[in-house]
Amino acid sequence: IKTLQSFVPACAIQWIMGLDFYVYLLVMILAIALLFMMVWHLIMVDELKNDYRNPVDFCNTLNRLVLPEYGIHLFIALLLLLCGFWITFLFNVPLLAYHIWRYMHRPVMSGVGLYDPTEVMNQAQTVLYTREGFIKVGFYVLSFLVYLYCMMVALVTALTQ
Amino acid sequence: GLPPPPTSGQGLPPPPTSGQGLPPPPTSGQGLPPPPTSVHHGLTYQPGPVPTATTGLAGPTGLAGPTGLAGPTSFATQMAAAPPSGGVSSAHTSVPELRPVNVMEVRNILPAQPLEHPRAILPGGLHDFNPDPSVLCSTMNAVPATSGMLNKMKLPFAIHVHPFKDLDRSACPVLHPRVIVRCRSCRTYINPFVTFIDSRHWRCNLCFRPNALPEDFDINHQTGLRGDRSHRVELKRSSVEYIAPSEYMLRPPQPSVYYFLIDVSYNSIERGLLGVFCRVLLDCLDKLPGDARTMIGVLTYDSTLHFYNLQSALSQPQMLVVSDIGDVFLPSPNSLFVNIKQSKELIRTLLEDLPGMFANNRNTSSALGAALQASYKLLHPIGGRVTVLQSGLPNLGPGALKFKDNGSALKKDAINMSPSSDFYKRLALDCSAQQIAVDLFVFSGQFVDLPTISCISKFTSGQVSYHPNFHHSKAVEREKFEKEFRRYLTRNIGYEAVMRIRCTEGMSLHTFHGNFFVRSTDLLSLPNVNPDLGYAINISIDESLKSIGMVCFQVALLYTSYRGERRIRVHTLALPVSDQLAQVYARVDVQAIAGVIAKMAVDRSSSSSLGDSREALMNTAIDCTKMYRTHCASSMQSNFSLPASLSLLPLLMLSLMKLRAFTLSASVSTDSRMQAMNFIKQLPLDHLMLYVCPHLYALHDLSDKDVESRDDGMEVVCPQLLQLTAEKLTRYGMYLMDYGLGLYIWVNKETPQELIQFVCGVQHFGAIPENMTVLPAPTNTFSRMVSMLIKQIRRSRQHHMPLLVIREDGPHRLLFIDRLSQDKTERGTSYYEFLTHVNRQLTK
Repeated sequence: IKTLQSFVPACAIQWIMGLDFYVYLLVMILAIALLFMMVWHLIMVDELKNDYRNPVDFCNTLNRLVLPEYGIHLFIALLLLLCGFWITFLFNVPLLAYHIWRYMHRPVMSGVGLYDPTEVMNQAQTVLYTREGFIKVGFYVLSFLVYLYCMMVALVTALTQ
Repeated sequence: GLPPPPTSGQGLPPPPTSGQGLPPPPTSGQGLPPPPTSVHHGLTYQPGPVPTATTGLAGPTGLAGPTGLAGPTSFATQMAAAPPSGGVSSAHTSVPELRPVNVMEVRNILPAQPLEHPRAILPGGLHDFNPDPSVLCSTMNAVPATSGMLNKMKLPFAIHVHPFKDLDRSACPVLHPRVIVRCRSCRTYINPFVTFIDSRHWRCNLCFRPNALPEDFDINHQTGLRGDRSHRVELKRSSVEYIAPSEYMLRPPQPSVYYFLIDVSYNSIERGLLGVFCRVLLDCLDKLPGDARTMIGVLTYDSTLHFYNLQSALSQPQMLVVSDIGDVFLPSPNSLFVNIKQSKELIRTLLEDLPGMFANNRNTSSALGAALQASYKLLHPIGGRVTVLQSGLPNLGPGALKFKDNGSALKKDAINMSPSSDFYKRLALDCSAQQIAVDLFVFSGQFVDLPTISCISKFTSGQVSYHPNFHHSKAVEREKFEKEFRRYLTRNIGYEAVMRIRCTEGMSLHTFHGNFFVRSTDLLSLPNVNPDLGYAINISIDESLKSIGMVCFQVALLYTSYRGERRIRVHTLALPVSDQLAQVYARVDVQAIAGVIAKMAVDRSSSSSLGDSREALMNTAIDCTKMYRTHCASSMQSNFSLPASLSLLPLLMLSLMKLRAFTLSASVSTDSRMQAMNFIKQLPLDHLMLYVCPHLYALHDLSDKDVESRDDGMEVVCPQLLQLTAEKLTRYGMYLMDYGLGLYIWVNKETPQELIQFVCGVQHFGAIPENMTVLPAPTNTFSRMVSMLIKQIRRSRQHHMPLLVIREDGPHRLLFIDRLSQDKTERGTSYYEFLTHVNRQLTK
């Protein structure tokens, strides 16, 4: 994946080793954070299924994490967009769209979050959460590897210039 | 005349000799007493005529026409006549339940006697130990062995449970053993379906691990002798109640606590609600279930909250008004709810004075949310029951709701059954954690946003009751509410309860339907248990059950009785496993299936939309028939044939689609629709089935042939059931309809005058009053039989069944006509058109 730096307007100030590298470094670290959040989410769903946690606690804990997770992902996407990395931005767009759709279709609640304690205990729901969790973990791992690669490429191009 | 027998009708071969092919009973001296020869739980079978048609002759199909329904045979009697064929896997046409029925050609699809639940057939006669089907029953009495098989059928696998049904001691014995015998690993209670490995050990039938018996298990406490185990009641009865020792208590058993929240805004005063309530409560004050510690309190609210200090030292009750409803606080540390015995005089004075205090109240606001928060603050140390009488939209304070159109003119897609605010849901979860249950009575014809406020009852295991036409001047409505409230105040009640449902390994609980909060995968928290509520649970099959011959379900309800005793009510159901699709089809319970599909449709209509749930109902009938045709039926049968056990499915699906809950008719308001959905979710299976598909009797045809004596010398009237269509109603007839929640008597203009005189006590049709709810005392044989029939129906239900006499030209005629589900009404198409539509889908 070649970074299309030539399209970036004059706001891209090239200082030590090039901006690319730092951008990708930041994005990669945030992707690790997202990955950890999703893994913790999966562990919580598993605890719920095995009766180690009751639904009210489950929802309170996970609801607090939903907006931060979406916010971080949105930040990553916007950062990539602003710095001109179109392809990696487009790579994140489907997940962004999914997040927006999911948040708009959440159960009626006055607080933040997606999880309603009364609906959470139906197996249909827990199966959905697990599936969603696994897919997103896979996606975040993939995106982590992508950013790592891009970061290395940026590092190499900057060093060779 | 009868249409010709269906082309696919096959004459029944002589029934196979019994005992052939049944698997041998489990090995190693069971130690179980020999199965009783005639176990007759009093409530097992509805009275029915002794089967006269035998299957030995060219069976009911050949002679008596389609489905053998022209004669007095019903599904259950056909089964009783046929020997148990549990393990037999011969040609499936030998089983009467599998006889293919061409639904399009059958004229009289409803059986002439009330449909009974099919029974499971277990080896060794174990099925005699199964509980009464109205308490615990399953959609499939032969469980498919793999989930692949279950998916092929496109039918849900679920159990219906009515755990706290009013059962007397003979139906549910109370035990007080020294030690309650439970499995070490899965904590199942010992039940009649366990196996004994040797004289000291038993094997749990849910997790299959061995357990040790307590030392004195065999000792008969009355004789002191070590004997066989036949005296242990828990091995002979599947519905038992234990008195629980202190390990089962998290805290000392709570006293009965009753708290009443009454809306005294203008709406309520204008309807005269307060007067009726106070009168009934005064009457029933001594009959409220409880012991010496019973506590009671009252809170009235409109735009402010009015607490009442009922301390016994006072000479009269003192009213304390809290006007800051944004931040509710309790004006007095105690004595806002008091011990009934100590403050009885004060409570009486209060109830006598309340109607007068608010007689001129013109306040139109109603701060329901604040009142609920106040009662939560008050009751949370102890728990108890809160009864709310609301008569308008809560429009002030926390939880205030906005007025929306009541939905009469809304288009299909705009009908929204989901709550508009989660205030009540969150409050319900808090209440549930503190063992407070909230029961809601709503009296308002205008928009009350029932979908939102009924959340407070749904998750605290309360019930919702809706009386849109209540007014103290309308005798019918007032009486109906009074009798219902009287039963509500005086019926059995259980506090701080939890219900745990266990099933054999390899299955798991999938979805729960009912009013409770699910606290973990199999634990339901019920702050109050109510003898009039039923629940359903969908089961999914995770692993293959082939190696397990018999699967069991156990429902255990741990509660505090109103006398302050901690008790456990246990019901256990055992079902055989079958790997043959034909056998599963033979033992399917079509009523249970319709019940659980209705509940699933209610869920679907709030999660997606009403149109979706209607489509899902229709597709159930279509898919089920398709799957049966693909997997079981032979090719020479017509397109639309179903096994006899499922032949009622299309009619039940159509009846569901015509219910107020799911119909697209414009005359149904959002609130009535919501209440209909609440009924579907709350009612136990038998009442739900009557609500969906009522029983219709022809009163003018009642004669001595319909009366018969049962074994205990009592006489019962069992007239035949009619099809639910106006085609079968004659202009000269008088009909009685039993719709589960009440009775209607329909009188035609041309009904013979003698009948009108005998039954209604008036000279002619025109003299029948508009709102007649009580029949005069019987004067001759005919009216005696009518009144015996009505009494019999009423006795079989615990709740009050209001009666209404409907004239053919009266204002209530739609109440009767809309329930004739085989006809085309504004609520939906006719049965025949529905079948044509389904047939067209099948042939695509």
